[in-house]
Amino acid sequence: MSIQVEQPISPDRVVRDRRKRKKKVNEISNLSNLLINIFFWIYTGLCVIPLLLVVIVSFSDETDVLIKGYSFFPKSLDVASYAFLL
Amino acid sequence: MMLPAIIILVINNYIPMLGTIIAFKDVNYQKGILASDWVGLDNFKYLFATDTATRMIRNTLAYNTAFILLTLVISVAFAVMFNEMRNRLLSKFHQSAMFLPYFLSWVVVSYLVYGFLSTDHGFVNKTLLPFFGMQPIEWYSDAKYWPVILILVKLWKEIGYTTVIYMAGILGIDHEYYEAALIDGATKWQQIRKITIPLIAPVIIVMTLLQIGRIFNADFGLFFQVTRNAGALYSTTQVIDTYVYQTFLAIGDIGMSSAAGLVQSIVGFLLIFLANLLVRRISKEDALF
Repeated sequence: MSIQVEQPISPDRVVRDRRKRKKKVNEISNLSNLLINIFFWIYTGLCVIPLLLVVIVSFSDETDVLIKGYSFFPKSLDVASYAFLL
Repeated sequence: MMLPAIIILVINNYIPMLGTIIAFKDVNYQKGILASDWVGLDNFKYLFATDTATRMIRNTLAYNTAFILLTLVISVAFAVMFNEMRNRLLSKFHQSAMFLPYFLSWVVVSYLVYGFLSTDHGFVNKTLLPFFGMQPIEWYSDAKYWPVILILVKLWKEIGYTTVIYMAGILGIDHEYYEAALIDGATKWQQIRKITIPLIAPVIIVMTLLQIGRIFNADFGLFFQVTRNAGALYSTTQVIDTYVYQTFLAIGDIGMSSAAGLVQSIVGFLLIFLANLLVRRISKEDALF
């Protein structure tokens, strides 16, 4: 994707590079990279969390669901629905 | 050598096409399909004659146009963003997570949506809206929210797939273009606009043409399962496919259903043909055929 720029290697440079990777010439800035990362973390969350909700609800107590509704933090865990299936 | 492929094509695609005669017959099961009476275009009338007919055709076209445009813009943007991410591993991880909803069936998605929108137990009504101090909303009886919900759900499910296709297109671009642009002092934004987008234009055009060919076919799972076939929502959720299904259940006339299918195929064929003609006018080498 980008041109490798030859860097003169000196001992202190290597140490600094280990802490903060040198940006390649055609790479985006740290800020844009951060923004894109944050955006995709949110989107990944949006894709996975609904499934997680269903999994959590499948383990929660039925009366609990009827009273409190579908929730990410059920009061008590219950495997009755799986026992019913098996 | 072409023979096996041709035989399969004929058996699977051309011989069943004889079934289109059903669309022009008043099918009587005692007489059999071939001996049933011809009724001309009577079967097509119900598709266009009623009030609901114009409504559902409008819905189908509007939803599909929205889907085509939004999928195109969002997935190309996502693909470009993925391509710019510095951490390849993280980019792969996010792609996989985005791809996850694509593998769910519409029935499962329908229950996911129900878990959020159910009036009495739904996550939105029980947790989210009270948190912001708002009154619960009866999602499944108020038609005005559904255009937004359906578009979001559809995009949520399909965007991962199209993004991967555009990603593949972008990965196929030669690095030397970017290096040359860099030497000329092009910014990232200019590189995207002048190199990335023009070079994946063929992929964009093929994908869009294929979708235009299906603009008259609505996604049955989305409009039937996700809306739970709620009658109160028909004004914004009824599309050709669900309408055909509902009338078939009510009347049980396969002539009408196949008439609807025939209309969808013909309109799709004409549209794809016209769109291709248009593409050929603008740039010849990008046309599909």
